[in-house]
Amino acid sequence: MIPKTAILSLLLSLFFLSPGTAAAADWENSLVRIEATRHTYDYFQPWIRRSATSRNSGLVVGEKTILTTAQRMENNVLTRLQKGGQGEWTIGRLVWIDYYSNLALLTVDDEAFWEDLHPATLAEKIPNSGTAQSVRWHERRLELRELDIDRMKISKGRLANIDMLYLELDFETGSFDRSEIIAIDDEVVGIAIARYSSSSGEKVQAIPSTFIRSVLQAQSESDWRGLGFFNFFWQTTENEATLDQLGLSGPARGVIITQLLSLPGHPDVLRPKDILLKIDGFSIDSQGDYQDPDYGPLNLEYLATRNRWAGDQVPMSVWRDGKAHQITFTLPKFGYENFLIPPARYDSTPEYYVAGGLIFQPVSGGLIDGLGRERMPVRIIRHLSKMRPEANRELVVLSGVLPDPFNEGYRSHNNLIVARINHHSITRFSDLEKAFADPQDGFHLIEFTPGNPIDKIVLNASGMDLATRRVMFRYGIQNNPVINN
Amino acid sequence: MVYLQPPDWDRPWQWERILRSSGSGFIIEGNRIMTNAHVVAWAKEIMVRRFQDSRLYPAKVSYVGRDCDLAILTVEAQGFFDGIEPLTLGELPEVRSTVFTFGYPAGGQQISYTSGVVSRIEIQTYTYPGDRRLLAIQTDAAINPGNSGGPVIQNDRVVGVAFQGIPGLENTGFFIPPPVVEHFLEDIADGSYEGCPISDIDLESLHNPAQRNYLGLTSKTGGARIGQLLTKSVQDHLRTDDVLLQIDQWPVARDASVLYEGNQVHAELIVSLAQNGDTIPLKIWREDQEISVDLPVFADRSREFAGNLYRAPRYYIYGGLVFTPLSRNYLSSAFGSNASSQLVYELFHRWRTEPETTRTEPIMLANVLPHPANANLRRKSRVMIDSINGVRIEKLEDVINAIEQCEDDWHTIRYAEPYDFDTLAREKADDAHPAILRTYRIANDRRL
Repeated sequence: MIPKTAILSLLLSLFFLSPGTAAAADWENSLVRIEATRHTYDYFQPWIRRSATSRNSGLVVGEKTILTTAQRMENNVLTRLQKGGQGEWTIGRLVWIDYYSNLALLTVDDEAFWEDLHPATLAEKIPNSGTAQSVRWHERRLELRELDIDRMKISKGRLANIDMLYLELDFETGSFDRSEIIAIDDEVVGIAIARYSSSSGEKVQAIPSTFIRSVLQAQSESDWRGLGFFNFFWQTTENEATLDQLGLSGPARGVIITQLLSLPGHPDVLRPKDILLKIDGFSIDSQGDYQDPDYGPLNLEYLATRNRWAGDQVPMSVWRDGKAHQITFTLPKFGYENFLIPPARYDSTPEYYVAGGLIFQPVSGGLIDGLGRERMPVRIIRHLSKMRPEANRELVVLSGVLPDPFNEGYRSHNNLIVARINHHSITRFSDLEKAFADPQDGFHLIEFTPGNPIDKIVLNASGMDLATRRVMFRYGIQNNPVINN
Repeated sequence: MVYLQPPDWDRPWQWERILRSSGSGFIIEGNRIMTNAHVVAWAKEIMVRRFQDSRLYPAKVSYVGRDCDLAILTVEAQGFFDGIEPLTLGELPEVRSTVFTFGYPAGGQQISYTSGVVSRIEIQTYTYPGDRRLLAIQTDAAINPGNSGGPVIQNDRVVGVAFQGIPGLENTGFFIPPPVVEHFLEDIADGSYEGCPISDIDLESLHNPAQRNYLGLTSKTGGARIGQLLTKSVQDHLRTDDVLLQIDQWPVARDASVLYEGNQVHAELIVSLAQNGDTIPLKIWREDQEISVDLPVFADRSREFAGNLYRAPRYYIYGGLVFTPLSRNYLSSAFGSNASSQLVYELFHRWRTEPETTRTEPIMLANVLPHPANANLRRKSRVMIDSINGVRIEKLEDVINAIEQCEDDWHTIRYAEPYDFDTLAREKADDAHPAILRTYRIANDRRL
């Protein structure tokens, strides 16, 4: 399993942290190829484990430290690295990964691997325009291609629905690798995470070096607290009548808070209809932008990650009840677990509970994607993006049924949201064990929430264990149940 | 021949371009023409002509059964019905028996005859209302556009009204069978159409031995479980975990079906064939004994907006803001197949999942007609309204009351989740209102 929080002391000597030591571009000896094998899961049969292998680029950024993106590094089984674009592969290992920032660090224990390898330099500044180069190993040779810098843009992350700053480049044609390096002269300005089409042509999106530097700096100082985010929705203030109504005279400015996404344990210092005028000393305009000293106008959402981490306090100025107030907003930590339906669950096997052939699973982004988003009923999809009303709250579904004489009559049921089992409320997946241990008068009573096609099914309690063992044998299930917490 | 003009659901005070369409129909007793409701939907003018007669006669719609997709037309012109023997209704045809369709499908001007067998008889979704499942007969006789409303004949009697096919499936047409046609004719006999009742009961199959034991059904062979009860009316008579043993004269099987005229069809059929307000005797298994329950059934039309409507949309316009109910027609017109899950949930699912928060008639801000008084509004169209001036909007009348009874300087319009809002200066909007109606040539600011 990946040590998520521990960081090796080797990071303390990261090369890029020493200003003025940039070497001339030596990509052959800084850029490596990574072959990562990961487990994948079939949510129709969550006990089945398969594997998939993908190749990324990696960048030497410090002593015995290689940086890559977190994409395709989840559920990692085996990592091999290759230098020079060809030849032998050396076993490596993942030493740190953070899916929200989409970054991962690897190392190789074989000392010989590091011969001739040098850390690259991560740029401290990124221009808003001009030309950059993509650098990758391709067909045994180092390939450099030119790209035009389009802009710095706030976008949702690839692995997390969090607004972050990305470097966007124009890209004309050809293939593009995940984790491909973007450089200007001899400095790395970004690591590519996606290629996509837009109305203005083909684009490459990259994590900017400035962000990478700040993440690795925090890591090296054991100060990595995760990414924070603004847990509120806001609207622009181009409607002057709204500002009049809220008593803010003068030119339109600021944005209006419309909804707070309450998080367990996180105090709500903002209120709906507050006008947010300043964040971290930056004035917010009526469109929700602020003037970034490095990149010009940027969306305010960036201020949650601009040199800030989860738990940091952010000073804000708000207009409330006809006067200005100074408040301190504590950045909540962004995490998949904030959501009633966690968008992803990495580095853990899918949870399931098979009872008499009935398969129960907690609803997650993986389950929805695995079973097919288009096949998911609205009664489940509508909970996407909802925050958890309380810690550990989960949606549990009867995801399907493995046919067995014991479950006759129930075989076509799927994607039913469980409300109670044996009169025990099911608010988290771990509730299942206790609930099934308490049959009612010889029966297991499984009730579903209103709006499901059926509202209750009943099973014989006395035959359940035997049926479950039979189902496990017939369908090749080795472990049951799998409950992670 | 039908000249039709559907409403513009996004701009509900006006109408789409005039279209020409055609369908089929047949004469029944009482100098009436039977056809499909969808054939004459949104008709501005209907012309009919008889077989081998080039003359066109104007016709009028007398009755429309939206849910059963049937309509009755009348022709006032002298002589139209002269010499015509009306067709009479036959019995439900048997599966595998041969039927003939008569009609005027696309591809020619003359009458077209096709034949096929009755493939199966069961409950099917009626495509045009979209929200009802009623008895239908599948046949391999060709039923194409233009056939709609034409008679399906067996032994010189009408055994159905051709009404729909399934795109992509070959040799699959459907017709409305005699029980549904008879129900419609009986319903309109009093001068108005009420509709086919719906049970508002989730009737669940009851195969599992443990569940049957749990419900004490060891000595019974059939019976279907009553699950969620969706209206107070049925909650007054039935309980969840009751078992429906018999509906009227029909024993109910474990899969919730009854053997109706030799066909295994869902028990909901019996409810749909009752008339609005009828009482259906039920045999119920409850707490280890058999009891009798008389269940009144109703053609509940309060949720008709979940199906396609054939009446002009309600709307209210104020200060250039166009409010209209969310409906299946609106959703389809405004979003095609790309409607948000939020609106789909509001329209089709919330009433079952969260009845306590269900709105009688969800209201959309369909459009904002540009004018200086509303130029700065953030939202310009196609967003659901949560509240106006603090009043939760349950139906269109709430919009009118919230706006017209407002005495504040501003109207606050709060949209559905994520609950952003707009503010409209009341005096400016009041002043601009007549000018906006003139500018956009809107005769009335409301249709209720």
